[in-house]
Amino acid sequence: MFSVFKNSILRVKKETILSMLFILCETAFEIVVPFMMAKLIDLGIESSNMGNVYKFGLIIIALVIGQGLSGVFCAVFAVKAGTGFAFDLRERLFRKLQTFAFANIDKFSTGSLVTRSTTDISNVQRAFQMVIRGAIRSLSMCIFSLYFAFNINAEIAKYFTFMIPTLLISFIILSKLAMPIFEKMFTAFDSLNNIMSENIHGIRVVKTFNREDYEYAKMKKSADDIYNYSVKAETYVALWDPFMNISIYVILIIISWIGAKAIIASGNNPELGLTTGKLMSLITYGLQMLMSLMFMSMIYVMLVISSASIKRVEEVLVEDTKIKNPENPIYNVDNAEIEFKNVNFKYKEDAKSRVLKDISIKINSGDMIGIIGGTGAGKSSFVNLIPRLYDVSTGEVYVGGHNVKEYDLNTLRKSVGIVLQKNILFSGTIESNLRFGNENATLDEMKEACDIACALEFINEKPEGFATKVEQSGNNFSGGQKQRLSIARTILKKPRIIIFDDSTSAVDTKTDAKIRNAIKNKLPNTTKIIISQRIISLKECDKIIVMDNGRIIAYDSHEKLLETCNLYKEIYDVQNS
Amino acid sequence: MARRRYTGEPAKKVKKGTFTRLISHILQHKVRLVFIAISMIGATFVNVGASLFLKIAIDGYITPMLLQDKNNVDFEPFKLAMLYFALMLFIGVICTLVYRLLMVKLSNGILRDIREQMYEKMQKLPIRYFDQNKAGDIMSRYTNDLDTFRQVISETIPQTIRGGLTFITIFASMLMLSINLFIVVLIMIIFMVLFTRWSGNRSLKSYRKTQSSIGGLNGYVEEMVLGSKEVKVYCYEERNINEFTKKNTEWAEAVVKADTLSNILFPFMNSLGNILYVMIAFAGGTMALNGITNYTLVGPTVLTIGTITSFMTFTKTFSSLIGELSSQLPYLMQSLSGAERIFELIDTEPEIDNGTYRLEKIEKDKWQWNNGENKVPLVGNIVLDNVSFSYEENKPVLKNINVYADKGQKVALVGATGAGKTTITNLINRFYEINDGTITYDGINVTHIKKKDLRESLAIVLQDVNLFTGTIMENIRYGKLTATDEECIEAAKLVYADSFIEMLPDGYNTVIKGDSGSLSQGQKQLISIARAAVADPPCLILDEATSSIDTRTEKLVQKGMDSIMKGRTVFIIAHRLSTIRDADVIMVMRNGEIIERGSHESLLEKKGHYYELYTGKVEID
Repeated sequence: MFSVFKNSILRVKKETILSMLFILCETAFEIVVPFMMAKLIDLGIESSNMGNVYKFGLIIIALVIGQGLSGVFCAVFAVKAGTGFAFDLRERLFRKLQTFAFANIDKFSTGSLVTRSTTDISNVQRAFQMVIRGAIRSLSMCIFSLYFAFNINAEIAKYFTFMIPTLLISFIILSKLAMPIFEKMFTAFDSLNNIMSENIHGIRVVKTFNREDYEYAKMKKSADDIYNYSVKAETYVALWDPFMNISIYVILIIISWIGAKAIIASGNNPELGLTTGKLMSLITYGLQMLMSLMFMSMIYVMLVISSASIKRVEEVLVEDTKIKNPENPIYNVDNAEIEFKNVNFKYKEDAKSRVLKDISIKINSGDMIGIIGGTGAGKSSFVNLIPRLYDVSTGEVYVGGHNVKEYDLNTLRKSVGIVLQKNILFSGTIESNLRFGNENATLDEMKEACDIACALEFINEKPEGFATKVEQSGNNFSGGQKQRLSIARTILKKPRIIIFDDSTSAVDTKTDAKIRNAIKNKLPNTTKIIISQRIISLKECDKIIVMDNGRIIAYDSHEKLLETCNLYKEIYDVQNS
Repeated sequence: MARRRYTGEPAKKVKKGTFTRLISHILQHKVRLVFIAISMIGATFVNVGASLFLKIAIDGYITPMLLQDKNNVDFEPFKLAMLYFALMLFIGVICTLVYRLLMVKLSNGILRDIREQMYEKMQKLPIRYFDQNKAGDIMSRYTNDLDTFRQVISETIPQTIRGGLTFITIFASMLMLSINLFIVVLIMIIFMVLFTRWSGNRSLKSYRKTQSSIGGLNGYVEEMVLGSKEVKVYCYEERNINEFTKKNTEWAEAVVKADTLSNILFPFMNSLGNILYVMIAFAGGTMALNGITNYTLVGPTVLTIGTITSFMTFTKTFSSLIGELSSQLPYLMQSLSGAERIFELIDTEPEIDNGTYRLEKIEKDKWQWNNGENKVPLVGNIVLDNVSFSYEENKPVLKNINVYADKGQKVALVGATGAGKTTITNLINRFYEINDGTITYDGINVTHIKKKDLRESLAIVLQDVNLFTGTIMENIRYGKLTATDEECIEAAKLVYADSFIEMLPDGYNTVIKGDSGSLSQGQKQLISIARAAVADPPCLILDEATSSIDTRTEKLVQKGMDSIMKGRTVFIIAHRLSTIRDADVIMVMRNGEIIERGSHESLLEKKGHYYELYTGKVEID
């Protein structure tokens, strides 16, 4: 389970080891202190020897200072290790996300990827810190305590060892009982959050249909679930506390009883056996051991709770990237010709029906091609295969005479520009969003691209022009403006093939026509593919692909299609009646 | 031991009264509280008593026994003492158990009540609240803030009370044992408190810095992950990683600084505690050996070994308690700000609803408005008379709007984004309250109609479809909870949703998630139209309801829509003007005013703004 985190741990190897070493020192010092304390009492106070009191007192102070210093060093390194680990893990996760293909993203959904790379990773970090500091500390504390206790008096110390298995077994039983309930509780929390989030987002629907009470009842069920599960789970945890207390008290009584007998036998003479000072140390060690056992069990609970997060982060890290660079990639796209040979496509391998069925088509370099078809006809899926956003299920896609799988991914995607249906702008400025497409674009190039996309007109109207601020996901721009900026952003990439996936749907017809004209005239050598719902937007294309139910049913010019293709004619009539 | 984590934002000044209000929530559970208090006190006494046990055993029994004849030691009194002691411990365990179990029920019960109270309240809040607050912000009140609330109730407050109780008990016991030694303790304690406060303040500051840098980092990740398809399409990966590394490094540096400071505190305090321990040994040893009078609350005594050792035990607990209590205080303040945000939501003004007219059914398809005195048959005439409205003061969105919609009429609203079309529909069903003018429904001012009944008589289909987790059938039934399966299917057939639903693996029983990616936007719109159709209201508002449906399907849907609209008053907002050509009246809006009105033909003839929109000369979005 933890093997995927190995690299991140190795990166902070030095700090981790150092912090562990210092923890060992710290606990060793801390453990020796009661040992010395016993001597102080026996040889100093009990024997009325003030010289010994000072002697051992000073030794203890020296030990305590050593303990404090190693504690401080341990804290310094542990923080470095924990943060470094999280830093590396975040970095690796983010890099991994960059390699994800669309299919990988779809599998997890962007929302879940956000949670995984923020909340979950923080939980993993906390678990790691907990382990390197807490676990090592309590484990060594436990062992040292036992060792010293045996050193003082093995006869009595052996009673400690009885406690360990008793405690461990009872703890395991308890956690086995509690864990499934904790898991159920988390699921209930998830479902509650889901209900709330849907309610907040859909509040207009709720109010429109007067479903406030219905929503409340829905929520109440989850809230009750959470209550029942947390009470149950926490009750188990609460049982653990008195159980620990009982163990501590039992030890206290047993040791006192046996200790008292031993002291009487030795006459409280250190030479002959147990003394009151030693009894005190024994009890201190016993308590320390139990405390560390208790702490270890707490860490265990924490680990189990965060194990869901660990698993979710791990899933992303081990996810097999669906689309990878070939071994000897081609770094050059010769021409902008596109060919599909017997292409079939499904989004998921186990899906029943194909999204694209037996597609074979050839698009000439520099052509302007339109695609039309109803919702779910496969238009977007078809174009997504060209820049290899998805891989075909069977068949081949060729760009510039080579199978797309032979190209370097960056080369291919730089050559094939696509304006997506749903446009997301990023927070920043108009300029930074345009540069998203091409880092080194000059102002003139940006102006030109915006001119083609008819975005220049509204940018110039803004007082700050290209420096106008863009809010997250471009919320301060209208749909039409966002679309035009996205088009400009893609044109700036200077691709060999440019695809518009219904990307002028919110633009008025006049501007739409203007953009189309500009594209046609100013990008003569670029192959242009335009998906649209409106025939008027496609009329001037060299050829139009008509798609229906995953198949290409016609591929011809507007005039010819009107004569030969019934579906096309039908759409045309609807739009011109 | 487990250090409290900062979940909320930087602690602001917490409103006065938040704490008392929090306490009052706890105080509601009186009976439980009494039991909790009793068992808590019991547990504390036993715990402190347990640490005294050694003194009693050594001083009271072992040392006297040592003086007896070695071969004939009387263990009986010791045995009896041990028995009493065991009994006391047993009571202590029971007390702990009772207190823990009751606490679990108490804290979870309070949490459940608050959660439900918040949610119930949220349903009553006006739409304005949801428009002004980000969904994430509202959500975080249920998640982050409620979590800090939980921490206060189930951890901070009981820990503080228990700590306080132990503190008092130990404090008293120490004074009983030796005032001389306590003075030594006091000096050290003052030093420790000062140090914790100093470092506490510093670490609180750097923690806030960490919070803002983690916010920046997570914000960036969120934006880039949500836009990860763009990242791929524009080959932004390389630059993305560089930008991320920069933010990640910033975060890591801030964390190292803040965490180191706070993590050093613990070993440092621990050492101070141990030094204090030795100091007591020195002082105690010197006193015992030199026979210095030991003053206690119960008079001067002789300092025994047992007293010194017990005192030393107390010292340890005492110093760790001081550290715990003083470090808890700033966190308590932090947590209170979460509680404050929760109370803020509960205290928000709910929607005003003092209408008296109720909608009642006379017979099938016949309804009437009734306020006990007047009865008005439900017809569906809606009139906006001189309505003005603004979301923010001095920024009018609608200016003197007059709209007359008679039963069965189809009124279309057309205009650019921001012209005020959607705002009008938000006023009719009172999502927002108008500033000026009147809106009447069958001659009744809408403010006199009970909101529930007003909305019952109006259904809205919005452009952004919100579906809820559940089956498709359940989502359609959302319009009318009593609808049978047949009615739902009928509605789906009417709006042409049936064909694609039947194609889904489980048909109408296919489970969809609210943000379901498996349905296209157009398909979701069809479901939401079916949902409104099932509701079967006399008045219908369609706000860009078919914007994502392709033109061919739209044409097919149109037939169904026509039959739904038949006989009903319909307000329709559409982007594709072709869909509203047959409206009885088209209102052309610009900047919050109706600038043209009339039928499609008359407006075209006019060659005004509508003509420009229709011919595509002006952008509509």
